Amino acid sequence: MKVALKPTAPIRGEELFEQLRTELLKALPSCQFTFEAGDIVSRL
Amino acid sequence: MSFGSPTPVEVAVQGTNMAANRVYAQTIRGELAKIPELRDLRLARPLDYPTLDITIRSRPRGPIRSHSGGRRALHSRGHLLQPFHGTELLARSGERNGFQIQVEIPQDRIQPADDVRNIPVMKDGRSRPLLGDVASVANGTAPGMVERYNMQRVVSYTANVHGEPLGRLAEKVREALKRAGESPRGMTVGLRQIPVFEETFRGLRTGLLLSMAAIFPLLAANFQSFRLSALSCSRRQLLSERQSANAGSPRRRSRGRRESPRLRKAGANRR
Repeated sequence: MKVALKPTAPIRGEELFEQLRTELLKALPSCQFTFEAGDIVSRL
Repeated sequence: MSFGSPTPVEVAVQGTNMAANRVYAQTIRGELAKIPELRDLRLARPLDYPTLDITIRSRPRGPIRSHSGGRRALHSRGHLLQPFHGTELLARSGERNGFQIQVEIPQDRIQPADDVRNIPVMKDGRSRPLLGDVASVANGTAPGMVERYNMQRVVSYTANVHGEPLGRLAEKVREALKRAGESPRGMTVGLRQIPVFEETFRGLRTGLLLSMAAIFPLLAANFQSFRLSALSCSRRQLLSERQSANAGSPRRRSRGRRESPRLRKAGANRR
């Protein structure tokens, strides 16, 4: 899933990833989530 | 450009035996998991991808057993692929223009294993026998994708970094690899991103030193003093320049205009 934050988003970067890791692990404990850069390399 | 890896840390176990690679990679994973700064530790390529194992029986059961069913069952392999890959037709419009039409069953309509068992497999378009009559269908697992490097199979773990610079974390990753023990014979363990990162920094550091070595004699010739030249290259000088630059900023400048109490007193005495 590719997500683009709005420029006015109050939380960004590592802080957001860390919060999402915690929340997603609680909501879906059997799933694994990773955060990767949405750059051209990962799309090749 | 991240050098082909989607994350800053990637540990690759490379060898000819995939099963042995996997066992050793799991040992490494256990050690990497002990590093608190690593996040999202996972296999780069899934090794237990869910599959359906279809085994075609040489003697099928059901009504086709009576007339050379084994031979007919051989048709099933090609016909099984049809619903997924589709049937290709070449349609012609007029004499020159031709275009391809592909017809296939949408993958989301084949969900349980029973849907696969109910696929007709005879090439003459008859509704029976079905795949379930000539083959057994069971759930299984298989590597989602096997990565190869120099003709050897690779099992790799990737991870993100949190709260620590990559350069400092590299030592911890190397210690974790040491704790995992020596790799079995014929197997190699490599870090993908970190060596390139370190090489880049080594190059930058060497470039900086060379540029300083080139600038130093120029400064010495300009000031006609090795001492002043060394002072201008020193860290202290850089810091004082930064402080003076900060003092020149509007916020600092307003502060700088105020006189200290000591100076004010000295001025009053002079007056």
